[in-house]
Amino acid sequence: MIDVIQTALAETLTWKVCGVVLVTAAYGIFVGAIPGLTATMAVALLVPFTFFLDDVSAIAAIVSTVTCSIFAGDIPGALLRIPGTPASAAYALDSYAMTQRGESGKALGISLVFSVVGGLFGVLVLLLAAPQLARLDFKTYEYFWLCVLGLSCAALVSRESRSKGLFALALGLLISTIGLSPDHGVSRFDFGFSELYGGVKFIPAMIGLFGISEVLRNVLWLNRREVPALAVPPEPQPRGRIVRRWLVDPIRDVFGGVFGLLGKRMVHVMRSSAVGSFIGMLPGAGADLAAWISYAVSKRFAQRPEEYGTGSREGLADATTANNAALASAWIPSLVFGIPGDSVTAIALGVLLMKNIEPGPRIFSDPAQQPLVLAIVIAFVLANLVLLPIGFLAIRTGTLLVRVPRRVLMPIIVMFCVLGAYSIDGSTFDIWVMLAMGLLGFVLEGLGIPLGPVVLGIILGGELEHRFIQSLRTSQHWWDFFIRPMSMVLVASVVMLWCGPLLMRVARRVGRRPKGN
Amino acid sequence: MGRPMLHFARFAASFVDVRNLLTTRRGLLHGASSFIVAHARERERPCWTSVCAVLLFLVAGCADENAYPNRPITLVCPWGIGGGTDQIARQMAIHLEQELGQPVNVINRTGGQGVNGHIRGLKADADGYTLAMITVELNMFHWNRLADLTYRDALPLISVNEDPAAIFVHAESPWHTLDDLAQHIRSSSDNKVRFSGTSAGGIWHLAAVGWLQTMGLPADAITWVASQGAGPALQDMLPNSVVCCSLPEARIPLREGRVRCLGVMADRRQPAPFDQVPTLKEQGYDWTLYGWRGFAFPQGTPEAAVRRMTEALVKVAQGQTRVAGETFPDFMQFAGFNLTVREGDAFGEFLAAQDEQLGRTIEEGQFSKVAQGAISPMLFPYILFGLLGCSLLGMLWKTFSEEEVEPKPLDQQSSPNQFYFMLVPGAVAAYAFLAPMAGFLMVTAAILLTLLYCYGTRLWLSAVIALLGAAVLYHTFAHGMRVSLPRGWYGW
Repeated sequence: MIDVIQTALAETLTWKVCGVVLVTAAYGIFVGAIPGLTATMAVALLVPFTFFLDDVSAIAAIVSTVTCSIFAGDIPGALLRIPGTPASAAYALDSYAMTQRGESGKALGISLVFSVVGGLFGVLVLLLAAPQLARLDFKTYEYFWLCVLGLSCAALVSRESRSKGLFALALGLLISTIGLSPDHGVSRFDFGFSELYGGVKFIPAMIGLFGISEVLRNVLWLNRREVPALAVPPEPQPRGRIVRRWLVDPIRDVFGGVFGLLGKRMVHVMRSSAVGSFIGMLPGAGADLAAWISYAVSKRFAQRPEEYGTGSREGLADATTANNAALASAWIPSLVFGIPGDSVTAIALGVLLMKNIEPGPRIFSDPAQQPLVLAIVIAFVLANLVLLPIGFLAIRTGTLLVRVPRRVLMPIIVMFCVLGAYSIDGSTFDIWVMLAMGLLGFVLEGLGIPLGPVVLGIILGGELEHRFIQSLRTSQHWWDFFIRPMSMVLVASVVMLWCGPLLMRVARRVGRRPKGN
Repeated sequence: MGRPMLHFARFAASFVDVRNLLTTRRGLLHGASSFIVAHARERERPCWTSVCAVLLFLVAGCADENAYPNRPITLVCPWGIGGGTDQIARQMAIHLEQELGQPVNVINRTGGQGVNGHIRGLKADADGYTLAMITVELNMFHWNRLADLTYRDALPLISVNEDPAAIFVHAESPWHTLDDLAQHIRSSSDNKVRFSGTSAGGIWHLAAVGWLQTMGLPADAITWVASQGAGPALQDMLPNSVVCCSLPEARIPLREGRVRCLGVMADRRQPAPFDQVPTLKEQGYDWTLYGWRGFAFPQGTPEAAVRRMTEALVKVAQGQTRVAGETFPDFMQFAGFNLTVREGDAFGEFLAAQDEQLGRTIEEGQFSKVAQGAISPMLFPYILFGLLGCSLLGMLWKTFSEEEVEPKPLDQQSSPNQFYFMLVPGAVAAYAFLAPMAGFLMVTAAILLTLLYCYGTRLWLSAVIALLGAAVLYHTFAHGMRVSLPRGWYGW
């Protein structure tokens, strides 16, 4: 064990990896702070670059981008009331209200410090929980059911309706069936394009779904007044010497009283982190859901729930802890089962697969791959540590960041999307795939259909079908699918997931009648 | 008019003496600095024509048609990063780069059991700047009716590797010789032996079927369980299953004693650790199958390029080049690949002979039908279509049952701008169509300029951003990530 840790440390704490973490942290802050650009898009645009990095640097780049952009989403939330990423939506009202009271530094300071604490808690959960889960013994049938369970979670857990989730899921799975089926040696849905034999490639699809579709959405409303009036409080005139003006006062402004609050709310921080980590672990549920649920939980147990939504420090702190805690634990299902926890880890999983790292329980027992798992953990710690100073800088320059004109950014992002899709294997066809996926993503978002299940479907579709056909081929009877104890547990969970709300409604109705309300 | 023209001329002059300006990193700096210097001297704001001049010159590049090769070469590998084929391709690329004095960039065009990569490599422009890595699967596509691609589309240059297939069983399996296994396959028609090693219909599946045919058994006498490559198949092996794959993948499991090798499909015995394993011929089965890897140009490549490339390839394969003190044969030895060199025509004859052999096996055994298996390939998609239908019904029902549809929070101040919207797909399409013709830099700069200007940036600012953007993108992707960007009439 000691030498595994040593290898992991030696691989992670190099100049190259640290440099990558620093650069991607700045990039994540930048993308996260621009309203309308999400953390997922930041990662999707990063993928072509990770392709040319070594394994550890690639993972570190993804981890640090997402950590920083989820925090940076709070900046426009506080200054403009527009959450920079969906994960900051839950408490944008509170932080904006604080800014109106002249406490923008404090609001963002709370965001920053609690984000870091939550992030570190999530790392701890990843470190402790993942190897335990990896001990479970799964065979083909169980993998099939696990895939079904993961995909069901993804479809159901989103805040949209169940039928929309199912639609997105089925669409993603159908996209994954395009091309040559490894189980049959037959090409399907290729529409006569030989380029489609290999299937819809994951990276162009991802860049299209998250990059181009967001550009389209932004561009459609470009002539709207770009940035609403900044709620910048009348800042006190800086006085005194340079050190005081540029260092002491800003630090006091941002961090003053935050650590006191942290000490006072240790129990709440624990609870929020636990909630966040748990939500993050569910396949398909990510940081945004974690923030919403943690906010709701916090409100329920709060002493002054009426303050929530009007500048409550407690709500802000709890929710921002949870969304960062969810980030690390979202890696648990992707590492243990190869079923990603949210769309960011779905992209990360694609990167791992491309680098011939096959996630699965074996990744925790194989001595050659153990350092990699630890490297992910170390990368998260590094990213969270880097977040403190970089986040502080971002808070100070926040007003500049949120004012970067979108009319300049969008064309450049378009070119990055095009080149990113092209560069994976230098094929023009991939650019068309990306464009088609971008339009699809735009239409789906317009209809209120979540994109997360689509992505998961594309990534897991091949695996699901492979396990399904393999199970069918090796089974003698149809009930072989169900009889192993582990299968039964998984099947029961799937059934509960889909029919649970229905049963609950029936139960409520039955329970209501005797009472007569 | 006079002063801008002066800038133009001065600027143009500064380019003449720097050959291949855009392929050097310094070129950009040089161009930009001379532009700035010119203006600093005149002390005036940048004006239109000179901005255009800079734009044109920076994006046009300098086409310099010297002897082959005078620009980077793309090596198309049809298999994924980290696999055996990829390792050989990348090693060859490093050596070729040294020998030819030009960058050799490997791209992995994967998927479709190798169809995509082979098409990409062999149907590319026959200008000598796309080198295709070809593998044994090339001879299967047209027999399996996957693609209209045969060995005749390739101009074979050299093959560097040949490794025979072999049959492996679990260390605890009851079968000790091929005859044991054959006996079992013959006697168990209802509970078929499970083979694995690659996807259904892949080359090792065919290898196993070829062996069955020598005994007069049909291709469906065994069950083929598809796996993602030989590695996972060997890893998940059960005592009663069989893996058919090529030798290098099984080297480590064999040495660790986890698997036993029953026979190799070669003409003679193989070097250690396979030297104790008899060939199929020794055991009375007339069947050999080699997986090979080689390099080819598309048909119609100019003679000069073919000659130069063949010369370089042979030199590398014979170990006359050294990178970091190691030759190509050293690498092959170390990585466990069997170095077998066939040059030009010899390689071509080998391809023709193997094509015939594989064709016979595939046609006789109705191989593709067996590979498909009893379960229809459309079963899974049909289930998905069903789900899609259900969800659509659910959505419709919800729309009708809920009378109050929550209105989307629309901004009252403005309406969506469809023109802005259409510009994005337009830009992407323009790039996909024009970049392979007009070159990367010109098209990128033009698209950026159009988008920026249409979205309301001032024209001169748009021009500067477009110019810088195109150049930065070029340097990031072409130099930083070594992507072969599209090249057109005027170079990049």
